[in-house]
Amino acid sequence: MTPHLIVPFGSADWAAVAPPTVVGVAALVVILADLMLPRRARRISAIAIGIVGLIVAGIIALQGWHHPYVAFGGAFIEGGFAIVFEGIVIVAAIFSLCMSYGFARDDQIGGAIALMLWSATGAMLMAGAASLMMIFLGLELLSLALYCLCGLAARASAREAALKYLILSSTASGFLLYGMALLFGATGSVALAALANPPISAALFDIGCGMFLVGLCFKLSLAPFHVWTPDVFEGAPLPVTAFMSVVTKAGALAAVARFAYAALPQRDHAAILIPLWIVAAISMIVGNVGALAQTDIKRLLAYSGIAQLGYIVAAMAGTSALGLRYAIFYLGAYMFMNLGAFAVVTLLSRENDEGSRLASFAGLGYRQPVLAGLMTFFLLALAGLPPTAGFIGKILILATDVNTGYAWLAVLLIVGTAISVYAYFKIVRAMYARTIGTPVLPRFVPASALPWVGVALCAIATLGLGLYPFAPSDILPLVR
Amino acid sequence: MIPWWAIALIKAAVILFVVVTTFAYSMLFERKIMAWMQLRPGPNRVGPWGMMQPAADAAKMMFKEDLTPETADPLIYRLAPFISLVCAMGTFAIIPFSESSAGIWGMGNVNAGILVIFALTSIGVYGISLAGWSSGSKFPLLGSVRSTAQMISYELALTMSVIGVLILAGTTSLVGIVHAQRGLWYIAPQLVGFIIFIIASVAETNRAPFDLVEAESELVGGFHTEYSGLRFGLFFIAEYLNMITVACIATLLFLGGWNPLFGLSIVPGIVWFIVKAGLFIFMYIWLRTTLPRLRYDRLMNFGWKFLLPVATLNLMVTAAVVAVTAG
Amino acid sequence: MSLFYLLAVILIASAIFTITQKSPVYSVVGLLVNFLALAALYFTLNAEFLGVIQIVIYSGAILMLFVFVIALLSSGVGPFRAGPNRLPRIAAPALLTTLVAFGFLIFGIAQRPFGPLPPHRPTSFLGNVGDPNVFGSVGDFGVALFTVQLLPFEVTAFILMVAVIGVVLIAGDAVPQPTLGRHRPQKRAAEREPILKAPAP
Repeated sequence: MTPHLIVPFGSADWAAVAPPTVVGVAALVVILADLMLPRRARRISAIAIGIVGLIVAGIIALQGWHHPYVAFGGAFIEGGFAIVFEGIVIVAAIFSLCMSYGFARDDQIGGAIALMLWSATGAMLMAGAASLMMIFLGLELLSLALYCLCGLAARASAREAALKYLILSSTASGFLLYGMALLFGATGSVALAALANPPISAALFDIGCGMFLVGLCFKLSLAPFHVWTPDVFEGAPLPVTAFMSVVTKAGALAAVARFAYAALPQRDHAAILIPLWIVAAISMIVGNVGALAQTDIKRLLAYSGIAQLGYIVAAMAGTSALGLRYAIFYLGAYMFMNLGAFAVVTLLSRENDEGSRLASFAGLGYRQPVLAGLMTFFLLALAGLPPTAGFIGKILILATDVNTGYAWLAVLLIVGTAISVYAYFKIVRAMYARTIGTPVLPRFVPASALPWVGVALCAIATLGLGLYPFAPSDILPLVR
Repeated sequence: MIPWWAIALIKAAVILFVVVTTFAYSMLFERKIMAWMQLRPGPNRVGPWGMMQPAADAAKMMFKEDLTPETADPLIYRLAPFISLVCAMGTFAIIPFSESSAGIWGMGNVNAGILVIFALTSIGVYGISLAGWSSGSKFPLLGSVRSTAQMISYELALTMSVIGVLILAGTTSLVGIVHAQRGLWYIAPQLVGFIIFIIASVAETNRAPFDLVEAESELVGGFHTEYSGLRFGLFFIAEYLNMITVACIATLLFLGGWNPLFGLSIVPGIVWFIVKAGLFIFMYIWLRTTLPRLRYDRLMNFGWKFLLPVATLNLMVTAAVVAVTAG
Repeated sequence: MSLFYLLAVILIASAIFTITQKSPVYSVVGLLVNFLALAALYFTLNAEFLGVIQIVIYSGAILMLFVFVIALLSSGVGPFRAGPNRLPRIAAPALLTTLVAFGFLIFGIAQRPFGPLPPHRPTSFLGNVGDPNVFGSVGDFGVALFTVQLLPFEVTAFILMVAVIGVVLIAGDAVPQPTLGRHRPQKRAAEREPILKAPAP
């Protein structure tokens, strides 16, 4: 009675998962190259291979833009929606690699770059995941690599960050899995598409959705599930923090968006998602108020990220088509301004000092006027002032919130923005204020020129998106 | 008509009795053979040729004082030997000694038979590691940590070598595997797997040359240093039973179980089985007397860097051959 | 059904035992009982392969590693030293949240207890679910893994590889040289950075 085993998938299925596969394989090549190349060439070769792999993956992904395909029996959907998020992950990973030149010891750099690429692979899998199982597996791949990356720096705070991240994130994964189990129990399938069927028990379904969203909110670091973020961001090595601040969010956001837009049955759509909007509202306030008290720029950007994610999720309130478009636009804008700020910090960092303390910025406006100017620009963008992408993004979110009847979110967004301006200007003031007594600061010698490229590109993109807001319009039908 | 549960109970009691007796005499067997190989007489005081030696040993064990160290964790310390023994004995509920339709010798046929045996042996490791930890002294702790690492490492190679047989037989039922060997015993197509299985099973049962767990020259007695009296006896029984179990599995998987040699089907299957299993037990004893103990790091290196890759390769080749020939 | 309730009670009781014990090894023993009861639950559902794998992987390998680590970290049988107890401050809200969530769960389950599965339930690959040796057998699992669940299966394998490499990267701060018989473990231990720093006198 041996069954005739036919694998029901063809080359089109494998082609659909080609972009994450290419990134994953590139990481293996990085490790192999690390074994063979001389010690001096390791850093640059690892980063170069990683960037080439990511670019190739991006090109392959773009090929599928007009050819959406449901691969592996509905486990993975390649198409506009997935490609946009894959693109964001790829760009963020490239910028993070640019900042990674001085990262980790010589014998660890290959593995560190590989882990970063694998983490990106996980996020890309999440971008296309269309079954609960794939969402979970993508998330685990993403997080597992990040736990290791957090613990790489040889200092106590990094280990603390890794441990905190591991334990709290596992708890969140537990919530996520429990929610998925309940959803499976309520609908009898792990496919997101099956969630639209009438469930056995509506209450089970609701609780499942709730726990599922709690798990994802943790990964999105939305308040009140945000408590881990500042500590982990502060402890993790700088390139990892930069990477984490965008890629985790992009992956989890793709899952939330697919869940909210495509999976939920229309009848009890609003009721299930209301807590999500409330969480977004709390995040906007908590993130910005929390940012006020910070003296470490990594912590400040962590709180800023909490607030920005609040804005992005708020854009999806009412699950309108435009809302998703604007959320993606703002995610892209957030990526550029956030990574730009991180790249500036990278340029300031040197051995034993990551340059993230507020003191490192004292008088920067006189020592490094260009760098200080760019930093000011990124902070303005994060605060949402014109002429930047952050400004346009917020205007668009305000418009869509008012249109879909979530005016209270719009009001909170404005309040949050007002608070945030003060927080960001603390750094600007430190850079330009004439301090009494010159602080003893090391000479400005960046470890490599690569972050300069990152800073420049981020600045151009932030300005460009501010002047010409662009977001792909035809992705909503592809969410499924 | 005797109800089925009564038959089951009687069979269980008989098996337990036989198994424990086998244990007792395989111990004597081991001591005698070791003595002959080392040119000394061996036990010869109690009964003719020392035949009553096991009974004397058992009596001695029973009447010794059962000590519990002051630093020990009393509950787990007392629990650990039972975990070991129950798991070691439990495997005999699943091992088919003979055809399941063979009347009074008939045994149950569990579908996932070989997997259940693995499950039981993997629980059995807890007996050793909990014993080492709960003794509250350093030699048992070191012994149990070693044993945990060793058993986890070699379990991989062991399982890999068994999967080759499972692929050939197409079933996980032990009876099914024996039936599949009516023509050719799997020792021929799976020679590499057989050798890996033998090596890994020696390590799994903590016998020389892999008996690092209780290396008396460095760890006094390993995990059971603090145990005495009957509780020590339980560990002792469990260890021997594990060896017998492994011999039985090797017989079933590689030597055709109760299938007769040279077509001599007049001899009942169970006799063939016992002879083949006895051969393995003799081989384990032979290994013990012949080979010196390995050093710990070399043991680990060998397990992970040689045995596991070879086992994986063997598995892949087997799978490929089966896939190609099955069309 | 009574077997189910018996196993369920054992499961919950052992889980509570696991989280309330001060000594980590007792927790492990509780968890072991928990895993075994779960495996027994699988057996009652005819999923014998899943049950056995549950024992081999979870009890035999993963939990064993827990014992290993606990034994290495706390030589001696005393419980870990407890930190300050932060529970009283949040006891009331935590209890409230738990009760509410639990109430919801019971409400949800009670709506239609053990009702029939929806029509699109996943069926077995080798035959009808009700037949013996079909649902949950090794063959059923294998076919499912290598056909409809192929992508999750591959990704899981990938995750495990990443985990192994990540751990090696974090832990492997010194490549051990082959000793060639001159074994000086004390020296290497001394060179290593201590995990726990002794407080300054």
